[in-house]
Amino acid sequence: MNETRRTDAILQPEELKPAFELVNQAVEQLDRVLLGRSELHRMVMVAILSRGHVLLEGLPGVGKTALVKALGQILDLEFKRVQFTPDLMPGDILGTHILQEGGDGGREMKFHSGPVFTNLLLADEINRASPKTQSALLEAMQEHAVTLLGTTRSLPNPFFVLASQNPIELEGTYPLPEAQLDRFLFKLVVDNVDVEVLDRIISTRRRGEAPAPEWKMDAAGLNLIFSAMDAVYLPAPVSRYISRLVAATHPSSTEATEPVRLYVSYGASPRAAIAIAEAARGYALVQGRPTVGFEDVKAVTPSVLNHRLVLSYKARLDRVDSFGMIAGLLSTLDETGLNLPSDIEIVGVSRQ
Amino acid sequence: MMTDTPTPPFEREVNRLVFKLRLLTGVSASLTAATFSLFVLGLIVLILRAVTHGTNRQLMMLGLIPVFASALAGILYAQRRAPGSKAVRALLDRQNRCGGLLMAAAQTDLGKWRESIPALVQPRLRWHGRRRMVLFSVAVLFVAACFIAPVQLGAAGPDQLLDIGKESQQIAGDIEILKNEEIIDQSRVESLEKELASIQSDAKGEDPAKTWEALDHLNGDLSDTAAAAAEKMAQTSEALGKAEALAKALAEGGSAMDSKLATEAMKELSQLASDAASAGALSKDGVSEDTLAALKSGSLSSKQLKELASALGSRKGELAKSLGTLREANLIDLRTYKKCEGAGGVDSEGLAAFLAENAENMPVADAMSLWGKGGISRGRGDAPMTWSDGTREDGARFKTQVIPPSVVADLKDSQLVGRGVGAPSIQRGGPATSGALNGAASGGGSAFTQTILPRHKGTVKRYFER
Repeated sequence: MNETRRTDAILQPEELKPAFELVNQAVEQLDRVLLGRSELHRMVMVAILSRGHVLLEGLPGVGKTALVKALGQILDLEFKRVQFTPDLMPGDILGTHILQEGGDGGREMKFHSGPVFTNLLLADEINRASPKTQSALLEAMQEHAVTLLGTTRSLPNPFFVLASQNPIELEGTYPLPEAQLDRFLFKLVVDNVDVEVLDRIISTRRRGEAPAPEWKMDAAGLNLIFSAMDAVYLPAPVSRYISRLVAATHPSSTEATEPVRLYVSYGASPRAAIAIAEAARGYALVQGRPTVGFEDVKAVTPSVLNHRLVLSYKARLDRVDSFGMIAGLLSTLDETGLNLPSDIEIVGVSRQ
Repeated sequence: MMTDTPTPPFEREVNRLVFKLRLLTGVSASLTAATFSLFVLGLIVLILRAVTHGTNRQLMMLGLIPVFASALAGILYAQRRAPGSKAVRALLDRQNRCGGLLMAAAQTDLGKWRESIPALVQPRLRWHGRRRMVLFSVAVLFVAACFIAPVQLGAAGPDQLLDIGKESQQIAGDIEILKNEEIIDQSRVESLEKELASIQSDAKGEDPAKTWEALDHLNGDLSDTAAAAAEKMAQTSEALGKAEALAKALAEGGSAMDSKLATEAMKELSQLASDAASAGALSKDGVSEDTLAALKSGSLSSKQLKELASALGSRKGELAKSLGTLREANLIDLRTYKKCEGAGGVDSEGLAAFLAENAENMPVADAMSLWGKGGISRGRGDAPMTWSDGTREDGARFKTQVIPPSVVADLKDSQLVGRGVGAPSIQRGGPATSGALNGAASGGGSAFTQTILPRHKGTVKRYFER
């Protein structure tokens, strides 16, 4: 797909179909490996299509690590895992220089790359590491590069960080800094599965071991879905809606809702608007559509915004969470921006 | 890249909804603008009517032009404010779950996706315009009221003329009536009209009390003139009535009178008729020259007497008609009218009988003045009294009043001492035979002077300490 194609035309059905099938197949494989997580798998796939990083939050044992492992296998990408602990140092992630004796007898500082040099990095229990170590990922996540001793080294393409974290309420955890949170496209909450799924897991899987994926996506397939993703069309009204939505998360905005004014200290950044637009494109592709609709935006917005809103202490006292606030925004804000006079009302679809 | 293809159905639906929304927005905005303009126009009309004393209504109607202009401006404003096709397209896309295809169609060529856009269904629009309509109706009524309301409702300035047209017209009419009834002469008419014109020209808002006072004065002057004329008419009518009655008495019973009485009566009639003629009450049109000559000579025949009586009666009728005209014009009050209306009613037969009875004792002129005023003709002093019907209680209402049973209050404190079949014997109350008040007489103030024995002091003390 060339640049002109991206801006002027939309994918035709025959162009969209192969990419849609590949994405669907990947999601199906994930569903097969991990039971009862269809919507989560879909959102992870959207994040991959959007080339974004994902923060998975959930209690231990709900399948976060297994999901990332399965994803690495299905996408056939290089996969590395770092278990974050309080004594983990930045060098343990990025790599370090070691003084080594060369063949000619001279000594030189040789760079030994860390686990970050991979396609798919699983940062397990990321909130158990100290802020210093957490911050080591900032450049890698945003610039897809690592700078050490004045030398910048690019990371492999594609590069995804899929981090898991325990809920903040648990002991021995460090909350992620806002700057790092903002670099995650999604924060997905991994809940416990219901009884039916649990029953299926223990009755079909010995020791809970997930089966290996039956299908893998090759590099060409990956390029194809990324190309298709780039060609998903974002209409102007939808783009406008995303902008208004993000602006409305700021208490000073004219379109901010009452809960936002009361409980939000800082709204979402422009990066959030970009993230929503990209994620909505990915969601449209997963749905098999060449254009982004309002419903795509609504589907991805909670996952994009929930970790980006900085709530006040009053919100904590009143037990108000960001998900409720985002839901209120989505239901209040008119997507179309019709701005009709108060005496004209659209009551529904008339069947003539 | 847009291809040159005919307008697809979904584009027509988009345009249709855009038109509907613009129409509704336009109506709503124009109603608001027109309502505001109408209220402003009403206020301006009220002020102008007060300032210009109610003139130039046609000119004020031109004020409706800005109302239409503002309504038009409202429509134009609404067209700018109404949702554009982009927003409407977004609305239809959302309502019909097009997934962004309809929105993208405005920006790019959909290619094969064009066929996958479903048949669009229009959303239902509801206009809550009742409040605006009510306000608009109120504004229209307000403007109408401002055009129709009497100008007096507006405040009159010091330099403005006072509207006394109605009052002036009434006074002019009264002057005309007095002139027609020959109560006032031409010079008086001119004087009154001049005075009225002067009041009209001096009627200014600066001092309305002065104008109203002058009008009241003129009105009172006319009423006084009319009342005096009515009084004179009553007197004339009275005199004419007597003359008429005498003429009839002579015409009908003259042959039965002795010659002396007839001569005296004729002479009296001649005098009365001459007085009436000199006062202008007897016109020559109704009486022939022969009759007038015979009247002077006192030799009226029976026929001439009847002719004279008829002429006198006719003149009396004219006076009664004039009285009625004055009353109709409210120039005289009802009391004066009733008083004058009854004047001149004379019983000719009674007069003839009275003259026959009393003419020997007094001259006819005296008898004429006494007749009708009571006197010995009513009978002797021991004549039985006549009573009219007694008072009737029909329709009368009496106020019910409860009389307090004073006796019962006395009996309340009485004691039964016994029952007997014989007549009750009265026993005088004597002094008490026991107790602290032994020997005290009731009502005699003995309680204050009675000596209390020492053995009773403790009891009395305890009573007051309780």
